[in-house]
Amino acid sequence: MPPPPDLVVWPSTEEEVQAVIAVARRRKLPVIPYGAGSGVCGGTWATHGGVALDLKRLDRIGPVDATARTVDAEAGVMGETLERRLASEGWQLGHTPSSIYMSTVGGWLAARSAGQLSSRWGKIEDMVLSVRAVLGTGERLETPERPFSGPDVAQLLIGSEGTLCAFTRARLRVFPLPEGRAFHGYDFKTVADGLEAIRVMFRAGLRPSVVRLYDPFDTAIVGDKPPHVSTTSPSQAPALSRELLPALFRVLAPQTLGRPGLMNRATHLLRKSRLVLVFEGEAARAADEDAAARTLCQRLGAVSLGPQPAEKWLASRYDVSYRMSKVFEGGAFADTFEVAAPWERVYEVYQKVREAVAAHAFVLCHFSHAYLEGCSLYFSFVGAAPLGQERERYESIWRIALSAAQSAGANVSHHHGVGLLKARALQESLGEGRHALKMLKDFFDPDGIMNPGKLGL
Amino acid sequence: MKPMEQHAREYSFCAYCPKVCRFSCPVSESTKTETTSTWGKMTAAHLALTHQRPLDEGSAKALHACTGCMRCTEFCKHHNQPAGALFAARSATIAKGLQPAGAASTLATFAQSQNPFGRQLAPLVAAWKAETPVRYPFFPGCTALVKRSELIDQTLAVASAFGAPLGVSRAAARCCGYPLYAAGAFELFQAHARAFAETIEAYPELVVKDPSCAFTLKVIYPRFEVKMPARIRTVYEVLDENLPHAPVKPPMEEAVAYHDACHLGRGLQQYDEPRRLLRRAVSSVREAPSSGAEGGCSGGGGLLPRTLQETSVDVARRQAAELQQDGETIVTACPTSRRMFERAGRQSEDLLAVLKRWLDTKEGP
Amino acid sequence: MSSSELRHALGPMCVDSPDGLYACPRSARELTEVLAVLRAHGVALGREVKLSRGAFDRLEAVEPKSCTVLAGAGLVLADLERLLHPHAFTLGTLSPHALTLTVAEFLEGPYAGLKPVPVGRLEPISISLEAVLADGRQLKTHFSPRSAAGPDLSALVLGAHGRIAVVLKARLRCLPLPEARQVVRLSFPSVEAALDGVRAALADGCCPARARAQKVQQRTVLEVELAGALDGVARDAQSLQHRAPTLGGRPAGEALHPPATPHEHECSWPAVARALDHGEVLDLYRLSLHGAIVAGGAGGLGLDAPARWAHGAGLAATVLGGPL
Repeated sequence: MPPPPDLVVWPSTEEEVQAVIAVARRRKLPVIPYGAGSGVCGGTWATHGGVALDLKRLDRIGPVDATARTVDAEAGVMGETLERRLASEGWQLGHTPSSIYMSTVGGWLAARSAGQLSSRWGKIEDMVLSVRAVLGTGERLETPERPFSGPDVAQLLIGSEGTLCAFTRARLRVFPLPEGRAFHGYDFKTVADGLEAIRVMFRAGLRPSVVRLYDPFDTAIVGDKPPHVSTTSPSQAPALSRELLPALFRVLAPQTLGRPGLMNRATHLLRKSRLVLVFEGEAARAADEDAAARTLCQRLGAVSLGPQPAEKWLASRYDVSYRMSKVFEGGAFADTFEVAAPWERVYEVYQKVREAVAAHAFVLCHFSHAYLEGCSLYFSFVGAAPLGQERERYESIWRIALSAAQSAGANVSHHHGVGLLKARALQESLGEGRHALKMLKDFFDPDGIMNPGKLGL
Repeated sequence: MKPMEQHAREYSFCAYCPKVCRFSCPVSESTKTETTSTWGKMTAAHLALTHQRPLDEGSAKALHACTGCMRCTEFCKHHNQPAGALFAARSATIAKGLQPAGAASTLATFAQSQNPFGRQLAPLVAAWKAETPVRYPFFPGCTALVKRSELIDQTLAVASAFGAPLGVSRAAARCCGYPLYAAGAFELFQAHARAFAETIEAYPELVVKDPSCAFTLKVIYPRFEVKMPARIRTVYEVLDENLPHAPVKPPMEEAVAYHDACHLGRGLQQYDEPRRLLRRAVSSVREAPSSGAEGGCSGGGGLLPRTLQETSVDVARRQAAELQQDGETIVTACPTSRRMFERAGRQSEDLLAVLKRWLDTKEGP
Repeated sequence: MSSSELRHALGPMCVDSPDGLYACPRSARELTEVLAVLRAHGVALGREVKLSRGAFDRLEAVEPKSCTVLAGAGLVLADLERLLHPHAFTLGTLSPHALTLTVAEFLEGPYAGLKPVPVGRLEPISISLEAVLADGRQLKTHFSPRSAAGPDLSALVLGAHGRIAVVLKARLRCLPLPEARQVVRLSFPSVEAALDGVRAALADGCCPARARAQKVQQRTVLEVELAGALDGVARDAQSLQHRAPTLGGRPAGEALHPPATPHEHECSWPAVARALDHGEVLDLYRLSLHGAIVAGGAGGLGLDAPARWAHGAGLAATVLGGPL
């Protein structure tokens, strides 16, 4: 269980946030800004106790400025609530992380998050015009909108994971709801062919909102069946699936998931790699970009699968989060980690991480969040270990995977953030640059009260 | 712990879940606490059932922070049903003497009068005597009987105008028992349900006004292995069915916002029927950013007004703000929701009252 | 401290020009030494001693797959652009004044190293950079397209006028050389309609190279130059033409004359609208939903002279202190 804070406070206004930080500063109490707790890197663990600053009561959403195409949202606004409000008025933010049901605007800023449609609409740092925050000094800060002179302080705060400030509000760019969407799926002969297709597509100026290339193992798991939708609660399910299968899984998990080498080797027999694309926006343009992408993919030997795989992805795009329950309930563990790399390095990072983790867990990968210069690699691993050794196995997988990714040229994180899990890796990757990060810390949080331990600060 | 055992997998699924339904819970959206999120409440039950953390006053309070609106289920790929699972966990709080005061007093009142209002319902029911032949026996529900008797008049008038005359049934003198279910008094509820079923053996069918009563009779009773001898239908189904026989009149020039009652919508999947009725009566019906199966809750269910009074009113206030973008009147088919909106200081009207007003409008030139 | 003492202390790392003393480090280590000397003597870089990054004037590497190049901070952008053409790359369409700047000036100065990307956004042209902080320590940011690994430390360089860190090399995002160019000329019934049309097209994904605008009699004429892949240009032209009719736009005939003044400002869209309402002819570069770089008589952030910082001055002065 994560270490708990000593107390939790729920400020409703920026002034109250300021008051809490002022008290904490006087008493040298750690302050851990908290949104909805969807982070996966331990970014809100109260390792030093202190005050959890739950910001969800800062939940006001301003009116959309249709001319400037902006909206003001407070830090505690839940993502899905914001998108629904915007959609009801014909707008969207276009920021749809898979955590959208359980994450807040402030959390997005703190962790520098990316939505599933980021290839077109950008990551959160691209959507922000200005932020308001209370710094670790207790001062309030509102960053200016362009044009302005001087460094962009917002970009120094976004991604700071509560170590420099608590965000209170942001002015965000909004876009009209897409008039049209074009869906398409392709099968490529190899991962490398699929990656080349994405690279060439971005070089040709195409900007799909969704780009997801599944590696062969993931392609096999994604399959062609429509997404499963349960209509019976687990307690009303037949005894076979309610009791027998979970019990069987619990017994077999350490025998199978705990010895993944053979299965990982068997995946070498798989070759096919599936690409899912969605173009959206002005209807004719989306259709035109889809047609251009089709020509390009087919030139690289892809088999067109029509719209179904991409439509299926859209219908089940948040499903992965639900799968965690069954894995954990069965005594196994699962986790994901994501990095980014330039095109020169992407395939090597993929291979090196798979090789490094293969002996310890099942590992699969998809490539998404593409740019002209490279893309993100999203690895999932599932494993098990004898009772009492789970944590050791889990942590060693993290170390091995991250080290393999970095040595092959990847960064530390594309959109999950750093928290505690990747803190050491971040500090190592920064080299002497870690002093710059420390200087930011000393400037914005001279008493070191803000979220101590995260980012290695 | 017995009622909890059959929900063991639901508790563990939620406890191990990364809170995917976080934004959907109206209670935790009001309190903003993790303790009252679906994950927090179900984890408390999971820890208690697996003996990892004993139930205490705090966790008992959390288990009662649920309106039973079922909105979280709409966002759960496992189709987990935390409402029923949490009500089952409330049974453990009774056994351990940890039930919050509001829930305990509801049970005490129920024990005394067999309904949550502490009133004798039979004399109230006797006030309605049909003068003309009726087609369907009508079960208004005790909220309407005790708190909103005008609703019964309005319903009877609308039904007659639609060619489906109703008569208040003697069965209405008995509460459906929903408060017992929501309090987690499952044994009492089952006994009450059996007795109720026996009472209505003589009726081929009941037409129910209150969505919570209809949901209890139609969905919850079978879960407790109580077979209903009568066909249960809502008044909205019946009126919708008879819409072709309704007077031909233009709708009133009014803009309203429609609130889906949780038990009518998610409970009984009746989304279109009340909307068709409402659109006949008014010219503009506004939908909230989240409506239908994913619509918000008014905070009136699950005994929340008894256990977390301020929170329940805040839930209503928040839902009203979602609905009333331009200050429209909120229309709902649920008497409890309407009470909640009133407590939140928002203007609201029952769907039947709107229909009655529409029937009463004079034809234009 | 006298200039001769400084010259002595800096040794071969400095040049005494008629304009004053220049520190001319040839490596990050030499720059660190220069900074150490200045710090020891309590001298600020840029006052008694100016910094020349003339030694960092090479195109060091071209990464064909990621469309990026590693360039020395002293390279002039116009020269860099010429060096890129044999590799079939371009920096994209930069404003005339920006092309006269070095990589360092473009990144550290008021242009803040920003370039437009589709869907109306701006992003730094530098995907990663190597800089030296005031205390002499090096700052190397990671070569990755995007990151969530803490704050973006390149913001210590971009637009910071070299007061927090001094950039020596940067890996820059390039574009493929355009296959096609096309000018779309439209007229709108009002300035607002014309600018709404531009913003709508930007949001659709259109990424113009530049535009020229002027109010001509009762209408506002917009001349948009598109550059890129053949079908990309056609798509962008279509986006512009698709949005125009709903805003009262129609094809326009005659070309506009260039603006009288070449001075460049960074302007918000309301500032652009005001200038057009005053009858100015404007050339617009780096068009995004935030605004544009405007050559012509528009009010905004002057791009040829340092302006008072909106934020971050305290950061430069207090935290990093030192000789920058």
